[in-house]
Amino acid sequence: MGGQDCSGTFMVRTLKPATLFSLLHKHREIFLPYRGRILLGVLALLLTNLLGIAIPWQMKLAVEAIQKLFSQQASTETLLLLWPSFGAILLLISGLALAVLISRVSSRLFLLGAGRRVEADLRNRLYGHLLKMPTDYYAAHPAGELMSRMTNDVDASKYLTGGGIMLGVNTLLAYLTTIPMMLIISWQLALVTFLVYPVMIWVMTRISRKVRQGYLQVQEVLADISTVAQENLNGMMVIQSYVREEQENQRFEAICDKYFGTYTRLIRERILLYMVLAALSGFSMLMVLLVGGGQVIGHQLDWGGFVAFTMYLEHLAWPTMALGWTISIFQQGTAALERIDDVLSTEPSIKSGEAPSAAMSPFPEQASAETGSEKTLQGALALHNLTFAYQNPYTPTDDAMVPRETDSWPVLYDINLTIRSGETVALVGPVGSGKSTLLRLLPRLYDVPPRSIFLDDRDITEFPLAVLRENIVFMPQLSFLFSTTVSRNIAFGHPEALDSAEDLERVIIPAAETASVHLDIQGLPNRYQTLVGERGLMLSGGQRQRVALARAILTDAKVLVLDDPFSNVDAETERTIVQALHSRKVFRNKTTLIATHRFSLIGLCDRVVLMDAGRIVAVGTPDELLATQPLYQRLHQLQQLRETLGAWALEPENGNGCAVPDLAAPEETD
Amino acid sequence: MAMDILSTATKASERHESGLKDFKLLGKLWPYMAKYKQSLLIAFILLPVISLAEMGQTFLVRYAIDGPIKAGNLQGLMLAALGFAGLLLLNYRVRYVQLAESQATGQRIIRDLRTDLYRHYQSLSPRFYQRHPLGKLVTRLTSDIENLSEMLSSGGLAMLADLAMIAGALIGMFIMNWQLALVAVVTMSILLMLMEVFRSRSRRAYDEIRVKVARLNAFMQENFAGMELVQLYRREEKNYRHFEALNRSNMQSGLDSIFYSTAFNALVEFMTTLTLVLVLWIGAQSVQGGLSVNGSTVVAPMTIGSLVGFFLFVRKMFEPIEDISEKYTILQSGLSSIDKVMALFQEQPELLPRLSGSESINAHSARARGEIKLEDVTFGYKPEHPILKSLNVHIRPGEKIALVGPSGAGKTTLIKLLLRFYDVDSGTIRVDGQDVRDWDLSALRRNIVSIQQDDFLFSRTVAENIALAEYEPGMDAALRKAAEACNAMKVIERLPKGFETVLEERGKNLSAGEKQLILFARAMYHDPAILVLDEATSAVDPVTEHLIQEGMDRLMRERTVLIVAHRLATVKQADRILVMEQGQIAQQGTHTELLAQPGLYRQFCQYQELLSVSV
Repeated sequence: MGGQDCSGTFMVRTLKPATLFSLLHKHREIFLPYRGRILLGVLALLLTNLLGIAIPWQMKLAVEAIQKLFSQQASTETLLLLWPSFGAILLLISGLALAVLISRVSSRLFLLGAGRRVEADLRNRLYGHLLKMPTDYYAAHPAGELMSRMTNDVDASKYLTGGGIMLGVNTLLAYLTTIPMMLIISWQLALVTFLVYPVMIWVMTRISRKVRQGYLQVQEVLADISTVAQENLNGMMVIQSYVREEQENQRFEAICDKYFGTYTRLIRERILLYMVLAALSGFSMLMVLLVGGGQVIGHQLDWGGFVAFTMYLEHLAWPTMALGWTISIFQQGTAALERIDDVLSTEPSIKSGEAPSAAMSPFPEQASAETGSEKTLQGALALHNLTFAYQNPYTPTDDAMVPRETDSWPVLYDINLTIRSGETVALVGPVGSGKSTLLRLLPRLYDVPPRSIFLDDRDITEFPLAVLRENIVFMPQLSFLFSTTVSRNIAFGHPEALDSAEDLERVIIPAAETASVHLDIQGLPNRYQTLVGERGLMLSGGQRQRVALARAILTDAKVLVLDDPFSNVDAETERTIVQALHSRKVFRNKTTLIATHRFSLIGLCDRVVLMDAGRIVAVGTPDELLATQPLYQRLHQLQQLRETLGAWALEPENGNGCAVPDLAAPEETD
Repeated sequence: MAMDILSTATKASERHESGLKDFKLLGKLWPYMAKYKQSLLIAFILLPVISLAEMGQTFLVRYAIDGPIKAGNLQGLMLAALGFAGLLLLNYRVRYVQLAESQATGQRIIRDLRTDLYRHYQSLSPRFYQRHPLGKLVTRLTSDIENLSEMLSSGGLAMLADLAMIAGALIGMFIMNWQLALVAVVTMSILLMLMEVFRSRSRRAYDEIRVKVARLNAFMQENFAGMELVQLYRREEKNYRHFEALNRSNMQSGLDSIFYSTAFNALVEFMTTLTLVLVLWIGAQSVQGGLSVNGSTVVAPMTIGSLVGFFLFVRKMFEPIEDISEKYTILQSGLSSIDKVMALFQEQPELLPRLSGSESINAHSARARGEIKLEDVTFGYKPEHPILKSLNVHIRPGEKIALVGPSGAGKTTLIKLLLRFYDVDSGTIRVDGQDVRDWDLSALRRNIVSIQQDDFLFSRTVAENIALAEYEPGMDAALRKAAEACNAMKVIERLPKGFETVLEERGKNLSAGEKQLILFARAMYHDPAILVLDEATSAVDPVTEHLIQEGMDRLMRERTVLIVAHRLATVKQADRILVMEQGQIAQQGTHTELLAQPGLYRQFCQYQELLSVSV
């Protein structure tokens, strides 16, 4: 049963038992815990088949008994003896049928249950592994691909352990138990009926291969339909404004015709397969009638054997049919396991610094971080001869269609910068000057060469990742929220859940107030318990950014890194937030780095680092830079005009609402 | 997202409570079926033939056993076997035709339905696309129609053949021995009741699994998208635990579903055997002249042939039930898809011409002169929030107009109204003196070409993207001319296969500047009387910038041009600049005139100037 609904992912390939075996061996710890269930399931299958072959045999006896009853010559005494034994046989058959029912159902519960459990374990393992993979990995593997690993491929391994074993073993056992019985009843008849089996099985495997290919082709055409539909719906404005409806209709019709052709071919193959199976049982019946009937005439076979033989034949029909599925389940399962193995064997490129003693948790370093052994950091940062280029270790270099030369070019050149503990520093520079990159390197989202960034005089690559990130909190440019409540989003970085009313008052609301989003939240239907929707889309862009700011300042990290925190916030709100940041002394006792062009925020900073084209141009107080640096002057003037112009300086209203950025833009961060 | 799925799942299960509604849903497909009445009729007519063939085969077996075999007549047996083989062939032949015919018809219906739905989509305007997320529309066109396709091919229509088999077996049994047939009817009724129980239980279990899987998937999807934050804020362990819990609950529902979704066919096996036992027991009573109750014969005497015949009939009756219970799910998911697909057909195109086809203006006329006049135009996407307020503009043929102003002032909205993607709330827009609502929509749009920022490029060849039609060799000259005229040829020559290079989705393999030039070529190729251009703001290298400026100049020649301008260079060249603020014209005049006036325009120019040097 389990195999039928995986037709959507049909792939035609040959079965590779060696690959399958080595994969199973490699990941045996996933399957081994359920060997007991699997064994019980197999035993139940054996029992099912053994009981199953007893039923036709008892039927044979029953028919023989009935025959004696039919023969009018039987004496009353024999009849008196016959009736109870006939009744007993029928009772026995009913009992056997009940036992078969129970043992068959339990074999399914054991085996399919084992499949479900393997599926869950495998999915946990994959997710746990993916949690450790760095940003580069996600850049090289789109979410859709990973989802397909976590859903389709994990499902296929479920079928492998559950339905695959069930169908495979059952087919084998059914043949092994039934054939001897048929040979016992009449070996001549058995041989005659089996004559066609090899041919039929050969034909059937060929047709089922074609059916699988047909499924694959139908899926392909369906994918085409989906692509064209998606694209044309996206470009509907172009189609309509250039009056291209008729051409596009024809184009779409052509694909639908192709789908029709492919599907009708599949239908024919499918019906043919069904016909072959029907022909197999029809031919067997014909043989039984002709040869078996002949044997009855020649007294080599009695009626009981005749009836039992037909029943044994029926017994083989289902396992024969399942043969094709079983093979395809094993093929798909192997392919899926290979892909899963690929993910599991990829190591995270960013290695955590020497982790203290490993606990049982899959994230040992995290558990130890919470114990607070390393919490007495000062938060002094030093960048030493830092040169950095984006080089994704997960994308094969020869794979890119249009290799972009810029990919391996350094984004940061020879950066030297020392930031004292407790200092507040602004990073200013035009688009592409490397501000974001610099900030993203601090929590090791990308890996830096050793001995180039130091936290409290210790190379950041030496820290356990969890300790480093506990001490350096980073607010990325994109304000990503999770589809949970506002309060949970704000408390996201806090080690405790903070679900109580007291926590809300004490920790969450002050952070929201500082980020000037408290009043907005009070206006939401369920206030802090409002669900923000997928990616926080229930909130406006500005609100999302302020929630993200609250999330960042709520933690008590020593180093706070904000990447353009006000890009979606209007000038007035900006002033309110800066006021609150100042009066609540948020940056006191923290080392703070902010990439921004907003004066009010720069006003809070001790120093400004001016960057251009990946280099540091100048470092000084805002006033010093304004007096001496032409680039800074221009950026300053631009910002001034932008603030006067308001919406004039924003990007046009059209398109999909994603403004084409100018200075407040996502940078080279990909 | 999980919530959506949850509610549809409950809705779906509610619907399945009533079987009557199912027929109504099927009725909605009737217009599509009616077209293939003949094929469907053939498929129906063949059904009783299948029943008869099934019946005949079994009767022949009985005849052979009770006749030739009993009598030891080998020749008679051969004859019976020959007859059996003949009926077998007839049965398969008819069944093949029946299945192939009905399923192919199903696919024809699917093809019609799918192209109709697509055609319908194309007739609908942006308001429709705002109401319905694109993903949903694609799903209707793919998965939902696919469900229907499954229903018509392997589900619904094949069920009819199953029913024919059951009917054949039942009738055969009643003919052979009505008392024993009654026994089979009783056991079958029990089985049918059990089927209903199992089906509804396993359906409930599947609905629960669907909800759980949706939750799990939503969680994973979100986590992959927000992985950076998960790691930055050290949530790995917490999220792992959350995932584990979701996964475990999914597994539990899976385990719960196993019994109800797999036990039924084992039960069919059991009931079949039980029925055979009953048949044997009651049949055996006939040995002494039948089973007597109060002295009257209840069960007629039976022969070995009838016994074997009954065995065969019982199998033939119970096997299809298994099949039906599996196909029922396909049937139901197909039915709920009919509902969803048909609901979309209820949407009416809103931009219907006010005049009927032949009366509408300029339906076949040549090029417009290119005069545009807005009289008191008021419009809002929601009428209560007007974007344009009593706007009055007159643009003479051949005039070059630059639109500037803050975002949200209504510049793009104005363009959409001109192309008649929306109709005005009040006032009139006239092109060549005629209300756009009186124009033949196609004729109007043929005269106006708009180039939007980041306009859509199809993942087809460059030639097809420019001509927006299937490529034919005859187009070459025109394509080349258009591309050369606006400097796009330089881009196209650099592409690996020139005009035949297939672009990636949305033109991802082109730079912003290259895309712009291809879009120019598209506009040039269609040679409109009116060109509407939303200038791109993305930064390009100086060489491409020069190509774009030059190309744009040439593109603008000899047409009326309305350009939403972002670059100072562009604004300066316009015949007239319209400064829009809050849905109205705040200032208008040439660049020099406006610079002399107080207002935001001056600062805007300063800002643009600065921006162009500092980037």
